[in-house]
Amino acid sequence: MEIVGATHASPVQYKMAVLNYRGLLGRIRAAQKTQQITKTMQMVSASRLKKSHEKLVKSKPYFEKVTELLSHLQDVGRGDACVAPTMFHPFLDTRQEKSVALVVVTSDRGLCGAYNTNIISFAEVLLEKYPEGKAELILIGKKGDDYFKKRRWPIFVKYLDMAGKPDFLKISQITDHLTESYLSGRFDAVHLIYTAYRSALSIKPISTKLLPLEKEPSLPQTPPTPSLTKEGVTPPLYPKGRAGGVKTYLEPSSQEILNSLLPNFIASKIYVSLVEAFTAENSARMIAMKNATDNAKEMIRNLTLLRNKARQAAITKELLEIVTAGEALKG
Amino acid sequence: MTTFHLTIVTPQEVFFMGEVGAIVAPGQKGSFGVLANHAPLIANLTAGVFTLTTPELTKKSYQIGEGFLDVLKNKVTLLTTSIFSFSTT
Repeated sequence: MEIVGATHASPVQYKMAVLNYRGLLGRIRAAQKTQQITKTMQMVSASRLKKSHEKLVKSKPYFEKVTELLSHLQDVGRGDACVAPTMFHPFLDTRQEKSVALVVVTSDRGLCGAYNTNIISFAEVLLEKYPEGKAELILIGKKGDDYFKKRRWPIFVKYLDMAGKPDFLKISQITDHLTESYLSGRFDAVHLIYTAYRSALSIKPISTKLLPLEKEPSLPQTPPTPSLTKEGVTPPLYPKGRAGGVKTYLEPSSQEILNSLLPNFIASKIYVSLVEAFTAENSARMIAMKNATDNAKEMIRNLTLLRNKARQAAITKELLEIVTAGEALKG
Repeated sequence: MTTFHLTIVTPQEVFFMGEVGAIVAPGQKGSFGVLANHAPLIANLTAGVFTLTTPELTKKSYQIGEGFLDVLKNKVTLLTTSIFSFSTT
């Protein structure tokens, strides 16, 4: 602990400076106020964490269902060679990664410990892998913008108004923007970098590929040769698919469903990831504030000890003066 | 009335879960109905009016955004970006 005036030469003077009773009182009061604030912030982020965690749990079913439908469609494509050739979509292409976009999710506000530092340094490691000018940034969150606007990587677009409340409509717009730039060939791949939330105590930055969609290992990389469509073999009217080969009607067609399902899949992936990142942010803030509160508590304890010492020293000093004065008078 | 299980899911939450008698959904090529024991189906939906009939035969209408309908073995899932209830009259 640093004590003001600790440079005094004589030990007595030093002691007096250290044990400045009034000064200590002020410092204790200051520490108490800080503790009060951090404690409040801790509780606020604890309740926010609870809320966003609920939101995270609630947002999973939609994503899971969209994923399920997508894999049904892929089954459909696999189950019947006649349908497979139509299962094309630029989102499923494999392109050579010449230029990429990194979507970096940071928080809008600070005081959340190493949350932003971690995600930013994680993103920088990835950025370093691409040659100059080949990686562009898409920033969600003010802290990322504050950092990256002074750096050498170009910022393609930034969204700074999420304020911890991702909205599906807004995310659909972001998705449209991303997919347009992808389709126009500006980017060959889009990666999403966000903080994954495992539990309130375990969060870590991860990167996942948004575009093109990673094909599941079960999905054929190239459409199977349509050997079955040879003349003489009538293709079945409705494709097989689903577990157990249940015939499924597709309205209006597998291709059209795929066309609307894929953007939806990406939007819901971003949505779930953002909700997860915000949950992680709240948990990081809660932990940072808990540590700050604990530190303040420790500081108050030490200062209180010093204050008591100072008070005792003052009393002793006064007694000593009285006694000395008395002795002097006697003599 | 034979019923089937309906789940309505939005990105935010599971909006509805329960047994219904019938539904009418705004398909991309026009409105269509689904009753119990419908053949497996995956359909694109446009924004429009979605109606469900409860086993007690009361009708409830909702305004929905774009979405998908998945029918499999008397389990129907409606996926939609947004859903609002109409005041039923």
